Amino acid sequence: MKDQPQTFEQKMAELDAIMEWFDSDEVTLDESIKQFERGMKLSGELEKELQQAENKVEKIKQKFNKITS
Amino acid sequence: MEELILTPTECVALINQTLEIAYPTILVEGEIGSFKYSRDKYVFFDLKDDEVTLGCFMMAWQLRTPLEDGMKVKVLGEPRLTRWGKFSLTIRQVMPVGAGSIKKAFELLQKKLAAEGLLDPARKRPLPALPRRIGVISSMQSAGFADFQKIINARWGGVTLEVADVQVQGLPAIEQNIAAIQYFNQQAIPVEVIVIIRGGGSADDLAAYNDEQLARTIAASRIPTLVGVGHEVDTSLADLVADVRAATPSNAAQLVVPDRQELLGALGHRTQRLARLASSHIERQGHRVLLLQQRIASAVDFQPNQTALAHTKERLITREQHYMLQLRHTLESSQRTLRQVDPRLVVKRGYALVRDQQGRCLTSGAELSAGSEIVVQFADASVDAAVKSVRIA
Repeated sequence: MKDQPQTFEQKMAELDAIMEWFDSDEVTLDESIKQFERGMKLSGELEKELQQAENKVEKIKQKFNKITS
Repeated sequence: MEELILTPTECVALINQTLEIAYPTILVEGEIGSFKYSRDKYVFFDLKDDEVTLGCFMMAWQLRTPLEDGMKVKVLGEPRLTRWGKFSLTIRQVMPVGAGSIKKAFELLQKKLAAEGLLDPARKRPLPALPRRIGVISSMQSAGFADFQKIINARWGGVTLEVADVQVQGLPAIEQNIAAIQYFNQQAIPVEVIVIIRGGGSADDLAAYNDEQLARTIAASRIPTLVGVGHEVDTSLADLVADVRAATPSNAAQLVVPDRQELLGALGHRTQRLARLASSHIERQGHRVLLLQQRIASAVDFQPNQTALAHTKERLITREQHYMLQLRHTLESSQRTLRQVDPRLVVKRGYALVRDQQGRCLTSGAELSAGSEIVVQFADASVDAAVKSVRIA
């Protein structure tokens, strides 16, 4: 169903949806275990993304020197 | 020896060739006088000091700074003799110098751009919330860029800064900044935001960012722009036409990426809430399981450990209160908490799950009847059992 990996925002939104689900009346034990585990997995992934420390710096090779004076 | 006799044309050509080789271009700084447009195509003015007046000529389209008599300017020009044998500078670029001239030029241009609607707040676009690729236009050796990079690294990760390393002052800065903005806009997969930064400096140093053409290029960028030039007190035209204006390069870094600490906080909040929701839900289910288990136990003549069950129930309730306290804790501790409420652990503590033949969890005994086959799932084993009778409570 999902070809593209979820973005940070999408994962955050899914986590919110899971919590809304817990507030609903249609909660069953089987499903709650599934939702709980999914929520935990998302939370772990999001935290891992947030802990990502590295930023890359790439210098563009093209020269912007049109004028030399 | 033969005398070299030239026609006037040849004479001017010879001197111009000599000038071209000796001084292809020269930089001259002086005060403007006798400024005038001719047929909207040409611009004439004098460049003077106390002693000397130099005639200057330029194409009107090359003039990007409004000029007035009395303004001090720095020009890049080619020295030439005209067809009338008069000396003239053919000007390629003009930049105001000195606080007064820069201010004057700034005001004139601001008025012009405002009249065209380029400074209109309605034109401003929001920056992407979580950019992965950021185009940066700055000098990589500058303190401003170092500040920017430092703050980005402190706040956020996983970002690629694609940097156009350009000069940030003087005449070349203008062309290079324009070329860099155009470069970013021409890429097949463009960066999500362009950040133009330069640290503090004198009004002369920052003058490049008041160039009309640069301002127009920023305004025309398809990619949202963020400009942080100079100190907080400095306002440049580039600032005014950008989608978002930052006070300084450091401030630009704060505006372009979120703070991971803030987001970790928000995530921690959610995770803790999920823990509470799951725990209270599991507790509710726990009560039902307890009742069901008692019923099943009597039905299948199986004695549950009542003391252990009561004990577990108490622990569930204590744990519930425990979560409320944990609200204030960090994400890390909340995730540990989350693991504690894993339903499988509830089973380990002495509960059993009762499933039907299809493997669904049963939360009511009423749907069972004598002869129903059920599976009682303990932590260490599953027991296949048959219901002897059902008494509705």
